[in-house]
Amino acid sequence: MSEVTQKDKQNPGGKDELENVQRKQLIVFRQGDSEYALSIDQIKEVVITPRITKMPQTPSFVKGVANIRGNIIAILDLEEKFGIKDEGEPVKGAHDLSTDKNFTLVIESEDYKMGVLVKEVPNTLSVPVTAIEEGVNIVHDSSVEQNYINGIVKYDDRLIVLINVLKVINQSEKNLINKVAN
Amino acid sequence: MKEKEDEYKQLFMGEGLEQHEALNNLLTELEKNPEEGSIVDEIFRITHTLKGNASGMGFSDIASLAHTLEDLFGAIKHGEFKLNNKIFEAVFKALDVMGNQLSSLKDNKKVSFRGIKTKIDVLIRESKNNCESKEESKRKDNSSKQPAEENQAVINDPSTDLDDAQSFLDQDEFIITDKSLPEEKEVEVRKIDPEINKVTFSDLVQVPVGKLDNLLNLVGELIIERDRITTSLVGTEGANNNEFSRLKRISSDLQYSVMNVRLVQVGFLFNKFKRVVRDASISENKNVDLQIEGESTEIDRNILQIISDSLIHLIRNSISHGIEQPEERQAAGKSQRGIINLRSYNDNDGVIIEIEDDGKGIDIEKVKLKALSKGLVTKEMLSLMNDNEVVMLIFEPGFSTSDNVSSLSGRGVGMDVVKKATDSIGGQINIDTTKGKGTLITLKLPSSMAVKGTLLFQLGDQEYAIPLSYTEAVVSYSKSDLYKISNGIVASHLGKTISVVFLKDLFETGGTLRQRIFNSYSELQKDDKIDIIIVTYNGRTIGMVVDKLLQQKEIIEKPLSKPLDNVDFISGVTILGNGNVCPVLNISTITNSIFNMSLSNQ
Repeated sequence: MSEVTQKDKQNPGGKDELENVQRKQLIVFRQGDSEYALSIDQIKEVVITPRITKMPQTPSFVKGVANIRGNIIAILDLEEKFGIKDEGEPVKGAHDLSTDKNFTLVIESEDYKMGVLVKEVPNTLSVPVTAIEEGVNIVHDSSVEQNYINGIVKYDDRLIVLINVLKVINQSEKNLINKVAN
Repeated sequence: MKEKEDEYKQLFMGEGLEQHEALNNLLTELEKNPEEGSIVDEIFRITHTLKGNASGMGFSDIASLAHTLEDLFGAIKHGEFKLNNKIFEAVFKALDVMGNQLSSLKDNKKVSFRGIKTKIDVLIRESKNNCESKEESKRKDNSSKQPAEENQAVINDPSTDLDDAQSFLDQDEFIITDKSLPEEKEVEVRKIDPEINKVTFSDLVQVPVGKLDNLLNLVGELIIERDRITTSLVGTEGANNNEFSRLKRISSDLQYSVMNVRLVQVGFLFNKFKRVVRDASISENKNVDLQIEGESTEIDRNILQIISDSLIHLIRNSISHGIEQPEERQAAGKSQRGIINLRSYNDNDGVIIEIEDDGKGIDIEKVKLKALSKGLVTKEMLSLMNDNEVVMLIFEPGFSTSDNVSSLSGRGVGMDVVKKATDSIGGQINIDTTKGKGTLITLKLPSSMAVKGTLLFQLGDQEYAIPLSYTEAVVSYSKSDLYKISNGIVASHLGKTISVVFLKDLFETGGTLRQRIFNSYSELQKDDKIDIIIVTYNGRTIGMVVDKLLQQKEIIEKPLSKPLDNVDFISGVTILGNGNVCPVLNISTITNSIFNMSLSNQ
C-alpha cells in the first residue's frame, strides 16, 4: 500500500480523527452481499453500462467488450469471478446484463483498460490508513489466486475487502487463453 | 511518367539537401576534432549514398563531385593521409558547389564544378604520394615520431616533404597554413559567400510514419463518428440536409487524402531485389535474371514494410528451390538463365504482387510425403485434398521441402512466416505451380490498411464482421443438405465437400469444441433454412453458419487490447454506425482450428 497519498480532512465518516492521520480514498461497491473497495487512483470514471458485445474464447466472468468513449474495453463481472453470485439469480446472457448491473467502473492502467460491473453507484470513502489491515494471510494460504486482495478495511462497523483489480486480471489472463479444446 | 520523374526528382532533392546539410555539419565538427574517425566514416557514408542516388537519378554532375568527395574521405578513412586546412577549405568549397548544384536542379542553372573537383583530385593524389614517402621516412625514424602522433592531433601539410617535416615541428600550434595560395583562396571564399547564405527550401516535408499512423487513426474515428451520427438522424428532418452530404464528402475526401499520403511505389522495394537475386543466384551457382514490372503501383507504406521480408524470402525460395542448375535447365530444353518475374498491379481495391519463376515447379508428391512425415496431415486427408490444397501445405509451420538446408532458404521457418505476415494485413497468398514449367506465387494485398471491406452478419442479437477478402460465397441450405459425420458436419459446395461449423457452437464457452459441435445442428428442424458464409483460407474452404446475413460494409478495425489480446478467433473490433461494437472474425485461426479438429479426430 505505497500509494497512500491522500490527506483528507473532511472526515466523511463523521468520526473524530486526528487531523494528521494519513487517509486513503477508496471507491466502495457492493458485490453479492459484501462490500469491496478499490483505490480511487485505479478508477477513471463510472459510467452507465453500455451495450456489451460478447467475446468468444473468454471465461464466463468476462462479459465481453464495450465501447466507452471510443475505447474498446473488456467488461468483467467480479461477482462471477469471485463466486459470490446470489444463488437465486438466474444466469443471464450478456445482453440483458445492463438491466441488472447498471454501472460500470472504468479502470485504467498503463497496460489495461477494463470495466467492472456494479449494481449501484459506488461511493467514495476516505479511511485512515490505520483502518486498513494488510497482508491478510488467512486468505492467502489456499492458493496464490487470492493475491489480488490487498487488505481488509475495518471502518465504522463495516468490513470492506480492498482489492487490486489489476491483479485480478493478471491472474485471469492465463484463463483468458481459453483456447477451444479439440 | 513525367509526373513520376518529377516526384523522384523532388524526393532526391529533399534527401540531397538534407544530406548536404548533414555533410556541412559533420565537416564543421570534423574540423574541430580532426582525429574523430566516426565522423569520417559518417561523411564517407553520406557522400557514398549521395553519389549513388545522384547517379541513379542521372545527375552526373552531382554524382561526379560526390564521387570525388567519397574518394577523398575513403582515403582518409583508410588512413592513407591526414586532414589539413587545405583539404578542409577545398571540401567546404566543394560542399558549397554541391549545394548550388542541388538547388540548380529546380531552375536547371548550370553550375561549374570541374574546378573544385580537379582541385580535390589533385589534393588526393598529392597526399597519397606524400603519404607513401612519409610512410617511408616514418619507418626510418619511427621512434621519434610515433609518440608525438599519438599525443596530438596532427595536421600535416602534405604538399612537400619539407612541409611534412615542418608540420611535426609546428604541431603544437595546431595550425598550418596553406602557404602556396593564400590570397587566391580568400577571394574565392568571398565570392561564394552570398550563395551560401541563400537558404534553399525543399518542397518536400519528411514526416515520421508514426504521425501518419496517428492521423489515419483519427480520420478512421471521424468516419465512424460520422456514420454514427448520420445513422442516428435517419428519419429525422436533418437526415437529408445538404450540409450533411457536404460533411460526408469532405470527410471521405479527407480519408482518401490521408490514405494517399501513405502510399509509396512498390518499385522502391522491388529495386532492392536486384541485389538479392544477384547474391542468391551466385551463392547457389545459378544464373538468374530478375524482371520487374509495374514498379509504379502504389501501396501503403506499412503494408510494404510488413511484406518486404516475405518477398525477399519468396524470391530466395524461387531461386534456391525453383530455378534449376544451368545443366539441368539445358537438359530440360530451357535457356540456361532462369527468369524470375516480379510483377505488381492494381486489382479492384487491392494490389497484386506476383513472383513467377520458370523453374521446376513444386513437386506435389514430395510435398505430400513431407507433410505426412511431419504429421501435418493424415493419409486419409491427403486423399481428399486436391493439388492446390496440398501445395498450400508448404505454408504450415515446420514445413520444408528441401532435403538439404542451404544458407538461403530451407530452414523451414520461412513460408509460414510469409503466410503470417500476409494474413496480418488481411492479404491472401496463392500458389500456382506446374511441374517442370515453373511456379507463380500471387500475393493479394490491400492497398491501404485503413478500411477493410467486410460482410456483416448477425449471431444471436449481435453483429459480427468477416473480411471480404476471405469470403467465397454465401449460400442458403436446409438441414437435409448437411451431413453429420464423426468429426463434424459437412456439406457439398460446388461439387466439393466442405466442413461446416455453426459459429454459435464455436463461440460458445465450456466443454470442448467437439462436444458442442453438433448442438445447433441437433436443434435444427428438418426444413429450416440456414445461411452459410463460405470462406477460404490457405486453400481450405469451410462454411460458417450464421443466424442472419446483413450488409457489406467498409470498416476500420481496431485491435483488441489487453487483457483480451489472446482471443484469437477475433482479430479486432469495429464500432458500427449504431454505436455497437462489432467483432471481426479471424478467419485464419477459425479455419485452422476446424481443420485441426477434424485432423486430430482421425
